[in-house]
Amino acid sequence: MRRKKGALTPIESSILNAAAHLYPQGGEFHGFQIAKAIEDKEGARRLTGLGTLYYALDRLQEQGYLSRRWEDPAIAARENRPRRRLYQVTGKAVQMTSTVTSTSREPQVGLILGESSL
Amino acid sequence: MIGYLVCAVVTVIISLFITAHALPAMKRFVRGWVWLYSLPAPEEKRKGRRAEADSHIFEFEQYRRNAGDASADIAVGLFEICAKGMPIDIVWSAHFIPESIADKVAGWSDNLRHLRVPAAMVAGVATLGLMNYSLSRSPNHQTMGTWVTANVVIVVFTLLLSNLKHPLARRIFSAWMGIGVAFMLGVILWLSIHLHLYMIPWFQVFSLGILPVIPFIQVVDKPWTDNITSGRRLLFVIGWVLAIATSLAGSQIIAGSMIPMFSLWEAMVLFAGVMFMVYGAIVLAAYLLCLLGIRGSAGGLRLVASGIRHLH
Repeated sequence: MRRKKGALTPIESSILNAAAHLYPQGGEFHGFQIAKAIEDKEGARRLTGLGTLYYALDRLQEQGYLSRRWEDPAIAARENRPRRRLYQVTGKAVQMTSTVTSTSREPQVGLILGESSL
Repeated sequence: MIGYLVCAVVTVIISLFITAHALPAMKRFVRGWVWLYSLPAPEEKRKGRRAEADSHIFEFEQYRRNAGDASADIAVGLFEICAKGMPIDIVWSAHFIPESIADKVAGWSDNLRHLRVPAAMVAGVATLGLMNYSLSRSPNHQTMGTWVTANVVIVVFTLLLSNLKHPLARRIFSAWMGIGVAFMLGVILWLSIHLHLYMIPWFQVFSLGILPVIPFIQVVDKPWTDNITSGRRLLFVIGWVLAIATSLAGSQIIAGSMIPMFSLWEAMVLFAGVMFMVYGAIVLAAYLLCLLGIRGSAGGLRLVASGIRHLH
């Protein structure tokens, strides 16, 4: 079935839910961090696939739910690791998750975004 | 005793080798895969995806090392997260393939269709040469009957392949395929029961597993289904019931028990699971071809049918 425009896939909802849960003040996170957060929060047995995760992050960024920037190369060089791309939940996503939170104890983004129509 | 010791030492050496090399090899594999599928993307997206994958691999390794996992376990985990995302990677990559390239691929596909006849002829001549050479080296089989039969079979087969669109050619070819499959299955069945080959696991899995997938071939490959059943669905069902009953009776007569046949069916069920995965891969390939704009969505389905047919 074709997805409704603007509706989120389960993985996109999971990302927003996990980010809202972990970083309610709008802190930054990177790809692996959010994959780990989803695993911990949802009790997923295994980490999300690489392609699935970054495709979903791309889509969320394009739809304005996330903003992103590259980390300062100096920090990565100092810590002797590859540079991270950092994501942050935008006002649009915060507004959406808070709307859902006011009606339930846990943010369940997918429920109001037509996930059931997938 | 010495044999056990040798086995133990070899096992340890192999384990050490795998432990030492699995993780670097897997990291190279994952980076290679990301490099490959990101090729069609614009420079900014391509570099971004590769850098993110690099970072992800690093973080994943660090996390698992801190959790006390061995290198080989990390390598397996890395492969798992890479493999899980592969279908999406391909879909992502397909977004960036320009229409001009898709059109070009469609053009090649058309040209290949024109090359069907010469390709069949070349294959036929090569097979004839190979077969006659083999016969000339085998004095025991140098009878007139063998020479004539073998050559006629290959020539006719080549002619049929070069013009499959002709209704008569299709009918002969389908009948030929049917007889061939039935003959092959009969021989395998007889050998398996008579020589107790069903006891060998690899034989069960790779040779006899062909049986449960035949109905799927018939469902997917519509023209073949039509040729076999010609709309007489009942005949199709009766045929399968007869085949099952006959095989059970055969098992009872030859081996004195129906257990060998049940053992075979058990192996077939196992193999059917594997075949579903193979078909899944073919269907995905077909879908991607359609996505890339290969002319006519039906082309994808045809690819599925021919892929399945070539598997057997």
